[in-house]
Amino acid sequence: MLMISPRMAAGMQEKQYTPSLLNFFIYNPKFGPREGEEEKKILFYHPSEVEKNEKIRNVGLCEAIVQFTRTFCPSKPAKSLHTQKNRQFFFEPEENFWIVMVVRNPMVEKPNKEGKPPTIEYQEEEILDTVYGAVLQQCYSMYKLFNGTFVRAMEAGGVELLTQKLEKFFYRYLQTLHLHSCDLLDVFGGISFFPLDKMTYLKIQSFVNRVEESLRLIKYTAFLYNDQLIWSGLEQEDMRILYKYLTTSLFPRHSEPELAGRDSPLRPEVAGNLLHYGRFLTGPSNLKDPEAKFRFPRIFVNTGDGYEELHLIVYKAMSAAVCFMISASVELSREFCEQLDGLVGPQLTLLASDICEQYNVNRRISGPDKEPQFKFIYFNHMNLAEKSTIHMRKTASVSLTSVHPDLMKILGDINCDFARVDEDEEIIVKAMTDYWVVGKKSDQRELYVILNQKNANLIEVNEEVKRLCATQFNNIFFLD
Amino acid sequence: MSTKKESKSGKVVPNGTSKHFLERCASTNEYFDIAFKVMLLGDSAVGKTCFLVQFKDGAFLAGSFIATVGIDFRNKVVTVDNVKVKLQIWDTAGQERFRSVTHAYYRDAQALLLLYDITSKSSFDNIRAWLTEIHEYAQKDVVIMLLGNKSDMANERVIKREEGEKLAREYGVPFMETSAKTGVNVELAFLAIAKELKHRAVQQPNEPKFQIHDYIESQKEKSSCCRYV
Amino acid sequence: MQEENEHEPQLVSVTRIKCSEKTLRPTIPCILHFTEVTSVTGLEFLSQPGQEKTIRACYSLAWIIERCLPLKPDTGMEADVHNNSVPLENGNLAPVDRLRRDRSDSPTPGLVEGTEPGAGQDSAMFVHAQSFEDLTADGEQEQEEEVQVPEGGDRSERGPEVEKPRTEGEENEKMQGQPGEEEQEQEEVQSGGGRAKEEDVNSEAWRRHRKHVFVLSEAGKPIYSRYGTEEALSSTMGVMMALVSFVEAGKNVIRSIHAEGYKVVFLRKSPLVLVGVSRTRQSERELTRELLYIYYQIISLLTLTQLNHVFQIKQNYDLRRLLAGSEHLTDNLLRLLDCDPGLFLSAVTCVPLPSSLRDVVSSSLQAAKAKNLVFSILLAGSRLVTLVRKKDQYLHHMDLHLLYNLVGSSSSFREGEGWTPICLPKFNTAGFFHAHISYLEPASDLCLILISTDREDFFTLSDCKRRFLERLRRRSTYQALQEALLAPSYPVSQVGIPELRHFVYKSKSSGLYTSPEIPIPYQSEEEQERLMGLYQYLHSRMHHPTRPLRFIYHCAERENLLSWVTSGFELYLCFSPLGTKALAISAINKLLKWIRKEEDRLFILSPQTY
Repeated sequence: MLMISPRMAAGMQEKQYTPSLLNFFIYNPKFGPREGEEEKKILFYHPSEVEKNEKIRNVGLCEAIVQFTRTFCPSKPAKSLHTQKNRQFFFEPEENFWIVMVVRNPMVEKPNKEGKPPTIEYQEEEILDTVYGAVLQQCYSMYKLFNGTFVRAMEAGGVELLTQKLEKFFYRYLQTLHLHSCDLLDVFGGISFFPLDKMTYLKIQSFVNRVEESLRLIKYTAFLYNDQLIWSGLEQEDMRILYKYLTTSLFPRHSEPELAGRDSPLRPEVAGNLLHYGRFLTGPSNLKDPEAKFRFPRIFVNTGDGYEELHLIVYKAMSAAVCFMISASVELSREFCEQLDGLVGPQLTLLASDICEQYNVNRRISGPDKEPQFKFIYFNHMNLAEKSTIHMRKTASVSLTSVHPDLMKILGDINCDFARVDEDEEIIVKAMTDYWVVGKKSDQRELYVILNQKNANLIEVNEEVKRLCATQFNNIFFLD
Repeated sequence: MSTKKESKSGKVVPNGTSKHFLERCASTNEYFDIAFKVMLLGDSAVGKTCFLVQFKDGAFLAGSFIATVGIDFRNKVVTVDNVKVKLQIWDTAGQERFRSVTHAYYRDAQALLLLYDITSKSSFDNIRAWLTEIHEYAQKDVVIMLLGNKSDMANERVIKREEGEKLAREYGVPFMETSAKTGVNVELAFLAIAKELKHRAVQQPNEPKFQIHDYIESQKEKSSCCRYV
Repeated sequence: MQEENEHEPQLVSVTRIKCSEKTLRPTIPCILHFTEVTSVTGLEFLSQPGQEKTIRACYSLAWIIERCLPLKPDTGMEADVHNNSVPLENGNLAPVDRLRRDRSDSPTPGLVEGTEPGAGQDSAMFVHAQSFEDLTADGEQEQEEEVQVPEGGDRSERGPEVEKPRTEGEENEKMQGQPGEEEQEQEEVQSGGGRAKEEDVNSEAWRRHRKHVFVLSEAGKPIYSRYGTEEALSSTMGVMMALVSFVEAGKNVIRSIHAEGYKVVFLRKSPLVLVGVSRTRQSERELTRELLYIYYQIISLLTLTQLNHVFQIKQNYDLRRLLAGSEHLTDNLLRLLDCDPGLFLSAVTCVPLPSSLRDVVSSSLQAAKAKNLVFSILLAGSRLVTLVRKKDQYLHHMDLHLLYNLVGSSSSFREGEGWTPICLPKFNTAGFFHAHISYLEPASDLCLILISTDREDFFTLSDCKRRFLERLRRRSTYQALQEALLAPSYPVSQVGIPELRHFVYKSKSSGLYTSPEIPIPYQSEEEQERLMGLYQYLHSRMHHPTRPLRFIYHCAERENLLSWVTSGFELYLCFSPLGTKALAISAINKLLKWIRKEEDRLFILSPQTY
């Protein structure tokens, strides 16, 4: 017999809301210094339908908070504001330009007796500042990758141009933010590297050299396999954001034709006598159609000292993808694209199958996969290398994790604890669910392990992590 | 023992008529013949606690300002005409929030020392308010004495001695300037109170009435040389 | 901006006035206090008492902040301006109030617009296929979308709405029988000081203090500042209130501001607002708890009833009048919060004593009872010797800490017998108890606190003390007690665990904790606070409201820490960095055995009631 108690029934009606984006705005307090001109300060405001005065008020609060905190530390103003209902994150990427992101706290809506509006409980402890602060900074980095700095737009076309650019970029970008699935990986913003043997690595390097030699226009090249980086000629910071773009936006958008291609009879391109599977992910989608217009996206790199505006060509064959970057001042013709396709397509196809083969050999040697007793995240601050067995796959919309969100937040907490002091540390905790969570920080590297061995004791947990370090990381963590 | 009896006598007396008992009492550490309750009043920071400590221990509490909390009760036995008089002195906090506590103890007090600070106009101006309060809450025959404290701080003086005298005359209470720091007139103030109370309590039929005003005037000539000389 | 400053009057402080939903748009109505104003564009003068001009206006928060806060350290305008300020005191604007909005009345706030469940996510599933990189490249010429001018511009044309001042004659409400009303306010309040806090609030030294605490009224009026005078900080506090009100106007509550290296935490406890600015690593929750202690400290002096009452009568009442002389209590409580683990553990510690001895003390205290006596507490320093209570009446550890603080911050109890009203806020925020406080001997550390419900009970309690002392002496316990107090704690070496430097063990059922002496590496004030900070950090992680932990082992360069919480106890250990995990595990077992063996001595196992 099935019985539902009233309490259960009530419980079933409870609604849980994940954190969501309330507002996102960009302002410059110098643009409307006079009373009555506040609106001029606002360069971008999402959602745009918000009533003007409310916009002004919300911007005013941010200004006030920032100014207020300068009373206590003139050089380090507020980075976030916590309120019962939301959190606001402040970021000043360029002097006097402020980006603010307002995230609503997750909440539970509990139904009340008939007639009464439901009770809403805000869960104020669920959002981690480090995670969303990093997301906000990433927003700016992504804007800058495709548009250059705010000041550049100002110089080129004044406030008008800047607001246009902001509107255009963020209107779309903000829709790709998935605040409910952000976690520690966003804090790191790392790059996943593809593990490779030396021989294959050298093959790739010589491929890159050959192409760069043949096509002198190419300034930088990056090589990825399976969404993981193998080789990059860009600065680390530029590669970091480009990698983010490729793996969370560009590649996922093109994954479908690829999957289709595998299953259906081969539709190889013919170049010379060689069949190949290469195609452009940016630029011309169909080289056969001479009428089709195409354009490569432009990116801005090397922002440390001045700019470099580049065409971004992404070319893919099977699981291997190469990015070629060419100065934006050069006009890229159809002929050039055909030349590149003819040169790169066949070689890349071969290379991709080589890598695939090599990879499978290595996997066979290391033995069959068995479900390990642990999951881990690793990050190296020096080369931005990240590795996660917690995230099953990362798509643009969600990073699917195999562990409970609370455990992910505990990882975030430990990461915050590490940031408190700049020294090597190790933290081992046991959650109420009896999962063990281990965090190690040593010489710019951080490792987080979740162990599902509920009956293990501290010593056994320690042994387990030691084994993991030995097999996966060649004992780079020295702490006992 | 004595304390207990006292407390009872204090409680039994319904409406402020003072009862004194002359009997040799033995407390755990001091002998005395007669006991009286004296209360120190005045705004905060006029120096009530320092005034008391100077009298009790002959020392001056220099340094940081420690506010009395509520009421502080201390005993001191003095000898008046061969009679041991125990003064139970209630040092009160001057702060407004303690007014209601102090009110409760007014009616048990037999003498009130009302202090102001000669360097603080407000503390002097408030004396009238204090006197109004005293008339409202204290016993009718309570002995009152007005004291202008901190007479050592001549440079910061804002209340002239004459002003104090004038006010005292107006209310018919004895007056003197004192210094808790140097000790000027501190003991005299308590002794005068003790004498007056003792005379009231054990007045012999043929003994002349004790004149506290005259006593003070005669005594304070000697010591109150602090300002004009 | 710089140039304008020369002609512009200096804003001294801001007080928010009552506002309806309407006037909130787009700015906040407030009263601005200026010095020497001749004219300010766009502002309407309402009164001009003395040198100061008070202006009521609707102004944007940013505008206020900009003019109110001494931000540019080089302009040198700040100090003078603040000294001139006698904020809100004079002038007939006293009852600007009506500010008591019925915050709590507002029904459950509805959903924030645009957050309809599911809506956001569903659409998101589709949008991710869009790209955000600029594929048109020449977007600078192309104009796809016009910059939208939001509707409702007509509304703003009306400009700032100015409310008419209210000048009903409420301001002269006198509180009964209090000498020295109004005019003396300033002086009286200032005379309460004596604390060395006349520090330049614009100096780097002031900013660098580890922890600032500010208490203000809902009218934005300063009540307490740990560093710097309230006068000098009146505009800063005005801004704090403006921030609080501003966020509340959006049916929201401000909690904290986080910046690199420090946090600002707000605690709203009507009719007070408490703000902490901390450079410590304490979490927001820990700092809020500390502010709550400060709030209760104030309640313990006044009762909440009285506090509410004074602000009902006069909204911009200067509470410093009623709190005069209590600043050192708050100062001392803040020090206690930094060094006494009991305050974050919600526990108290007691002097280790043979249980036979403690039992005699307890029973002597129990025997010295009186009709209205509720609690009898014997302290040695800040440790409990014993506590006897009326049946069914419990003393909350927070109230006990406030009593510790009262006794510890005043030397006046040493000599005589103190008698003071005290509110124990965790017991009842509405009424006063009356505490008889005295040391058993002037030179002794033993302090007896007797708490009665009757304010006429002084002599009764004085007698209770006498009876208690007699009993102690008769059974020659007093001497034994004095001797036991020569060693009021124990060194960690007694436990006999190598590499163990210090620990804190709390028994949950009794609310008591035990902890050895602070060992050598942590004896300096700075290091002791650091050790307490580490324990606080462990405590706050273990007791996280939504993801609590069972166990933490923390290994770092200077020490290794371990904490373990079960249903029965909480344990915090500090090892030297040489300690290993294996050692830590064996240490727990050994320590628990030792505590079990010593529990008679370390805890009060048989609490007494009258």
